[in-house]
Amino acid sequence: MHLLEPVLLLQFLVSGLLAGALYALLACGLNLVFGVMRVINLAHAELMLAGAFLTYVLYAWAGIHPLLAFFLVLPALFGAGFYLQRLVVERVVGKGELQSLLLTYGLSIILINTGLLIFASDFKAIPELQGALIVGDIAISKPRTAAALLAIALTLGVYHFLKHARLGKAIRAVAEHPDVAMLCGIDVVRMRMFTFGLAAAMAGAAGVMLTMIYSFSPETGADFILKCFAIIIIGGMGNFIGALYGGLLLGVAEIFVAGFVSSQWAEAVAYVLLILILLIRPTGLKGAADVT
Amino acid sequence: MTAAALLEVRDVHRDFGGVHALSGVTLQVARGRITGMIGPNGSGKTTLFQVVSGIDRGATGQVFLDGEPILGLRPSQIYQRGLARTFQLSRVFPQLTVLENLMVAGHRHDRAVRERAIGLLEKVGLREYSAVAGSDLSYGQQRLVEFLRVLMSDPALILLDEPAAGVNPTLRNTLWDMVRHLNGQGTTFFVIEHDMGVIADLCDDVYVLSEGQVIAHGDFETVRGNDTVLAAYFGKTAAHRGTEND
Amino acid sequence: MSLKSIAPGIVLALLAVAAPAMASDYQLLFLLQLLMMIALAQSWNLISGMTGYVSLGHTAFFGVGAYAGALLLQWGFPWWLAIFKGAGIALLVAAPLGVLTLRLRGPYFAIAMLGLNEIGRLVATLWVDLTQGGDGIPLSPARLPTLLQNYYTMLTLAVLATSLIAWVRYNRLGLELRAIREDEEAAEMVGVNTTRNKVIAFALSAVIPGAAGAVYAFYTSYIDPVSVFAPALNIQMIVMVLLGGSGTVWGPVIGAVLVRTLHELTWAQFPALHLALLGVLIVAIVLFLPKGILSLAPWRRRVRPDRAPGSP
Repeated sequence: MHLLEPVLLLQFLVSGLLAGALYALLACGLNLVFGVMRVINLAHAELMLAGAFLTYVLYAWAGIHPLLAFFLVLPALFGAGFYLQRLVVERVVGKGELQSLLLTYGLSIILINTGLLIFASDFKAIPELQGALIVGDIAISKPRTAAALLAIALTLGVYHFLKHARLGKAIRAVAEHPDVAMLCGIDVVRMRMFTFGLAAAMAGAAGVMLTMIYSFSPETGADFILKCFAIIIIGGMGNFIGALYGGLLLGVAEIFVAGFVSSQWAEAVAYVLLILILLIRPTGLKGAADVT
Repeated sequence: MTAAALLEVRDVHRDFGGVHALSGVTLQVARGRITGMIGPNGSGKTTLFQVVSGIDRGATGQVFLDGEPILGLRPSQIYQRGLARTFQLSRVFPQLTVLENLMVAGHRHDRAVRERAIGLLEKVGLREYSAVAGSDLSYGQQRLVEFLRVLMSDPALILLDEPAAGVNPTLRNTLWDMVRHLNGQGTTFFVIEHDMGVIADLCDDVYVLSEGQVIAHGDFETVRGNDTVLAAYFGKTAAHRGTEND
Repeated sequence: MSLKSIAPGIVLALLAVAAPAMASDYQLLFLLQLLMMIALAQSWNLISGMTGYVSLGHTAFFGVGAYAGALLLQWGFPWWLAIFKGAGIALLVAAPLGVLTLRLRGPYFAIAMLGLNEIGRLVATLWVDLTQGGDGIPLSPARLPTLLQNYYTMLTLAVLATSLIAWVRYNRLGLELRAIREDEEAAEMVGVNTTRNKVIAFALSAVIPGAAGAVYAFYTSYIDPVSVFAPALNIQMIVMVLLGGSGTVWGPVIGAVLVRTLHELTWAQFPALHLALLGVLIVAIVLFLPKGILSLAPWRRRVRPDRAPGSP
């Protein structure tokens, strides 16, 4: 088949968007935490894997379908994030990047290796929801479509929440001026707990979707976190909705490179983009941090 | 080129995403004098210092130090040419000792620089604090150390951005006495200050900035009588200061 | 620097020189790895501990050095020359990268370095003609230096790295680097050429990992992309420096000894547990001991002034 055929290009575009939606969901959570408390959570992808393994356990032991597991994993991860913030992360907020980078680096190592202790390093997968829809000449993978739709819905939902809900507005106030927010009677610490919980829940949701489309091991997070960095730098650090665009863009770019060059080089797209953007615009494409 | 002006700012503009922080500022700081700059909050005073000292390099226009163009140079290059400054909020290096804080500003790293630093500390009674970390000083002491740091290189021109804000009266007097003393020895000063008493007492020449423009210039009496200034500055801030300062 | 302050270093170095006379091969290998980690930790200390620019991808230079050393050895260069060239190539790679990446501040720099290490790993994986890709490069034993030669080379690197830190620490460069760490803008405003200093520190911090990477290739006699562009190695450097005390001369040495000993005691039995423990250690240090073990030493306690002179 000729590579420049419109059908093939369209197929690439659709597959890219579907893959990118998962990145976007994950990166938006990362960016939310950064935007609100200036903490780069290096353990964010491990929270996703926590969600994935929880889904796996529910499926393997209780036969619960991943789409149902969703409703258990989300609150579980929210709670975990909420208390992780309270007990650990809160202590480094405002202490400078080094402290928070190292702290979350430590958390990520703990999570990965606890995962290895429990699940070993073999890859797991959940063989539910398989196959593809054929629309015209384009094949659309069913699990990926389900995952992508959920991811986009969640991301937009959280965006809407931040923009319009009372609690969301309070979170944005904390992001922009923690001191002023405190003076206005907002419980800043609690808002940050809520934020981290929300981000962890988004990561957990990404984990549920991960089980439907990829095989995964406790060490899978490394690739994702690096891609997330590329994404939030493309979209602007702290810019919530920027990460959505960044994620979709990366997904599409990877598929095109995989199609036109090789699937191995597709892995490099994120890093090359990351470095290029940082070199051209040292503060990311969309510049200044902004939760909205 | 006016030989008398040590610092000359010509038609300097600085925009922040459509907001005109500086729109066509032109002024001169006379050699050997103390020039004051006043104006309401947000009038562009600190922005002008950021531009002149090379930290903000996004401005257009021209800035001359001793006749040489300096706009676009790095802060360290401008410093080497004899312009030093303090910041609006104290910027001592918190984990360096007081002595190290001064020594880092010396052009070299030898016994002479060390002795000069110790001599300066002695002058203001901070000698015994040489080995104390910057962050362990009181705020007033930090400001004083920052001021001493600026003196390490014998600069020809010193920009002071509200140097006495947050400093107790005793240290404040020490500070202004040193400014007077140094000025007597030939150092030129350009000072942002809110305390009109200090401005009246210290400055030979005063510029008034409002909304990014120079709206008045002259000695303190002239400026004080100026209607535009009264409207833009004293009128607005008199009420403001009343509520804020007690 | 007084004789007193370098005396412990001289004693340690002499002990390390004498060690092969009494150690078994296994013990010697342990010491060799310890020395490698000291050299790496000190290099990280130079850029990240002194300057505050956190490199999450310093293994990029280790990897470059390892590949350069291995390939040069295969192409017929003597091992010692291969090490020199490995270090030189790491420096050549680092200098321009430093100019580019050090414009980035805070998290941007950290993330860029993480990305650079990944790019290094991908290049080593994908440039199969040169590197044999993911299969890695086995080195033929005939050309390799002996364990003793490797040991003394690594000892030299560890001593060099520590001396470099000591020299920088008590020199003007160190003062300026620490000022950059504290407040880069204010440092620039008192005449510190921040860009030049950062690039110097960065380039110096890349040379020794480059050389150490080559020695690593020789004593393991096999390298592949995953083992040399290894994030786990970067984790160890960071933990060692933080545990001991970042920006200090002896902190990273103490940290390296502690971590390697812990490693030795737990690694063989519980590899995952060992790394999880390292993670716990990082978290604990950040939360409870942000200035490292050296800050606990009684002679380092500073007396806080209780009264300000000149205050009423």
